[in-house]
Amino acid sequence: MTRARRVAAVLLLAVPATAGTKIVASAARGQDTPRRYTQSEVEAGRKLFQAGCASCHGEDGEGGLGPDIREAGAAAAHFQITTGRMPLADPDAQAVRKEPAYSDTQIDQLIAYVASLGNGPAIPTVDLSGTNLSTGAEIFIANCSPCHGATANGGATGRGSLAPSLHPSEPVIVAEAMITGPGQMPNFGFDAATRNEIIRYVRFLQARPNPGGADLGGIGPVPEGFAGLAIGMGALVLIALFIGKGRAHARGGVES
Amino acid sequence: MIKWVESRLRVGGWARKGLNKIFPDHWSFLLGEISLFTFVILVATGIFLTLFYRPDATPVIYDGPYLPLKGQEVSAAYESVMRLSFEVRAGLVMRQIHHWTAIVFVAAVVVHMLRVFFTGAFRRPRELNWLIGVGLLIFAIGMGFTGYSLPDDLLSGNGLRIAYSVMLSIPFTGPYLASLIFGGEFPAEAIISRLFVMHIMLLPALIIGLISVHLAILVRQKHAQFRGPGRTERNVVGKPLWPSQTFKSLALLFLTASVMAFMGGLLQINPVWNYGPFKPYITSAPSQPDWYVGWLDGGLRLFPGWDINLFGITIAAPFIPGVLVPGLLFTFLALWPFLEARWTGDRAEHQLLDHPRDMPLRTAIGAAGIVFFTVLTLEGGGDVLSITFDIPVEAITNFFRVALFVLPAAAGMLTYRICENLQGTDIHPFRRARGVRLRRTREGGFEEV
Amino acid sequence: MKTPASITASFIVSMVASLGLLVLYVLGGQAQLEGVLLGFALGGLGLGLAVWATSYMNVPEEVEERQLMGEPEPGAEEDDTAPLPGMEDLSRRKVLLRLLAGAGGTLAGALAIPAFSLGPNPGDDLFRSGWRAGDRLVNLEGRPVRPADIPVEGIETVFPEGKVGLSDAQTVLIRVDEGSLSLPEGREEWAPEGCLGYSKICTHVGCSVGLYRSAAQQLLCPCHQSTFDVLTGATPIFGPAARPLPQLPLAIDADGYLIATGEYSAPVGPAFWNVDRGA
Repeated sequence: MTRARRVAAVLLLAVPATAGTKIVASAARGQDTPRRYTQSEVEAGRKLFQAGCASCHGEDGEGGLGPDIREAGAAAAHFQITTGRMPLADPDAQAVRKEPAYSDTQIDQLIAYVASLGNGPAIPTVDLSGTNLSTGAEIFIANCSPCHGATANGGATGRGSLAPSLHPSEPVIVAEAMITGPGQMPNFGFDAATRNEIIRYVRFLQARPNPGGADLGGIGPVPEGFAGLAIGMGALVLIALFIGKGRAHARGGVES
Repeated sequence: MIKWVESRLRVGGWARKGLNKIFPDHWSFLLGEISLFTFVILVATGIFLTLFYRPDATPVIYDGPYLPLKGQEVSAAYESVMRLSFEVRAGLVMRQIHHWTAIVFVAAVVVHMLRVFFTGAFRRPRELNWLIGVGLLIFAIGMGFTGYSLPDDLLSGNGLRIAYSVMLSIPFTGPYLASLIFGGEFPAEAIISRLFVMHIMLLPALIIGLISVHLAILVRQKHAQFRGPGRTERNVVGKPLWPSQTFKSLALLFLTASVMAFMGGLLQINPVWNYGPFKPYITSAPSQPDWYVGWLDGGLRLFPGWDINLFGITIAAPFIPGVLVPGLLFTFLALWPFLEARWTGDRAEHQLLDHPRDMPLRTAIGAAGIVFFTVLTLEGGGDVLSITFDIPVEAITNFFRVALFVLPAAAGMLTYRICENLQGTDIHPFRRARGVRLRRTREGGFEEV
Repeated sequence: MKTPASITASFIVSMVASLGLLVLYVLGGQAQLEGVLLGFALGGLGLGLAVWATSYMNVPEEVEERQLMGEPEPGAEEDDTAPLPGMEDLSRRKVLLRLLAGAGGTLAGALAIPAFSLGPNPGDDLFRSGWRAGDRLVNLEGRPVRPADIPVEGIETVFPEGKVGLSDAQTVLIRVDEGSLSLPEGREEWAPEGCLGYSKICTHVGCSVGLYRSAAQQLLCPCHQSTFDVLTGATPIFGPAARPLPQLPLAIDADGYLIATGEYSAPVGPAFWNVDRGA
């Protein structure tokens, strides 16, 4: 069994366990059936929303400083709040991953409220059974690597915006990003099967399978060049100093 | 045995003279040897890689042990590199040693050249060896770029695309030249086998030939040396080749190879399996060349989007930073010994080396040059700097657009001042002052404490 | 000094053969003729030199002393400033020397000409992309695309039907809110339902422009960060690219699929000297 095969096997076993806690609705590959939220959840969510979100997104989510989120749906709400991206302290800054500001119960209530505003996408289902690592890799490299990098370590996308590293991202978060297009990310409109294939490969990358040794950040030739100059050339100069005498002025003059 | 050979070839006198060749002792004189030894390592590991690599762009279906690529269409070249990396015993470590050594090889050539520049070792009678050195630097970069392009992965394919486009930008001849070199409009399949011939035959032959002449001239002219007691323009003070220098050189060879082996084993380089096979319609980020081409890539990033139109002839934006400026810079570098001789009027033979401080203008120009290339190289990694330090890419580019002119000038002026201040002192700028404490004796003399 | 006619004739034969080789190459070549002409080109040079050396160089024989290999090396004393023998005679043969240089140069030219076989004349290749009016847009899997398949703020890489992967035809299909468009004049009909097609080849040095900042509607090239404003016709707004990404005129066919209605608005890819003049 090769290393790659082992890693893949471990992933396959691990994923349903982690995903299970997050997945609200479960459906076969294809359509995501939305979870039903109780009226009391929606009501509690509305209060939380008005306290923490309405200053930017408006009293009823109609937008203001921030975007209109009436059609954002449970998927976007779950993505933004569980990754701590919302609430955002500085509306001009890019939302980045941090500790969520709400408890799990409060998050469910907020999601319930946002979902009740319109017909936005539900929290998607992630099911990696039957996926093929190679299919996911091909789609990932074609569609995701231009921004997130070939190793999903993130990349610069200009104007101060960054495509974040996908290494800390849970499968459902990756799926939600693909269907909601948060921030500057395009909405790829992938169907559930395609999303699952991609997520399979993201999980593979998250295990950092580096058969060649330390990956130096996994962001290509820049750190490699730096290591070559600093470590490689540096070591050789030290060796030269050790072997050759370091002094331009040989005090003794002609050696006897 | 020795007698038998000697009585037929009579080389004893010649060999004895050779073994008695004097090597002045200074660590910086070993930089050239490091360049030579890294090249030796490149040839040795390169021969191994050649046995497994296939220079062939024909599409095949990958069916090796690396699962994320299984079943995908890749070129035979890429497939052979994957096989080399995952299936051939010692293949991955050889590939990584080869790549790390390539990176260090060009670095060693550059550092060696800087030593020669700052100590004035290019002056008469060594102008020819300087010119050969510039040629070696160009061929070394060519070796690096062709090697980087062989695996036919996504990064290398985009590198070739950029090289093609830069050629295309040359006025009048560009489209023809690019078509001749690539065998048609990009992406042409012929380029892989052509790069292979360049990488394993033409360029190595040129490099080996030039190294031979480089060393023959060195033996003929004997080493230059730093100033010091007993050292004049008419002698060489140092140790003979046999035995200590021979052992030192052997030691350096093994230690260099050792560093390369450690790097090749412990640090992953160019993971082509992550980039995937080249497809002309995908570019992943970050997308960079190896460091020695980084300054050219930086120039391409930095130059504003100006297509100059002269009488209906378009001078495309990449032409100036990609062809014209590098061409002028290398010409300037090659002609430096002659330019300096003209400016200083000094056309005498020099066997004693300068201290950089004693030639402040040359040292200042060298420092400015280093900063200039550093700025361009950093801009070549602008997007990586952007994510590392959380600065917008545009701000980095705009900063370097100004810095490219300001920083070298500042570095040059600063260096000039430092040189002037150091002149006449015996203080080494990177080392603490050395001296002996003296005490005046009763008789009026001095003695060491 | 009389110029020997035999040598002159040899060199001229060589030159004529080399020129013949050149002409033959341009006309398309023929193996037997090529071999014969090359034989005359080389042979003429060789014969001329041979006759020159054997019949027209009267250099007396000299004696070089030899040491046995077992003997010690003598301290050789030679005058290395004395002129080489025969130089004076040689330098007076101006006509022959010129002929020799001419024949040598022509042969070198004839031998270098096959380098043009290395690649085709680009012709108008650089001006053609592979799109024809009526071609359906298909994605990487080869499926035709309807506007509804692309969400607003979405992006997809498309090709002409049957030509998936064709480098020159790579196109990004982006869907935006139709009301926000301000395309250049004459392109009002090019973006049905807000679907925009732009060449994916960066006009700077040709990387694939696959990085889309959807909220700002800007395309960015991952290689050198050239940035293009999607709403105004992919005009460059930052970085080293000087030209907009060429736009592909789109329409919707009877079955609801997106089709191209013609070529791009400009030649795709990086600029070259006659890009604005045509082939």
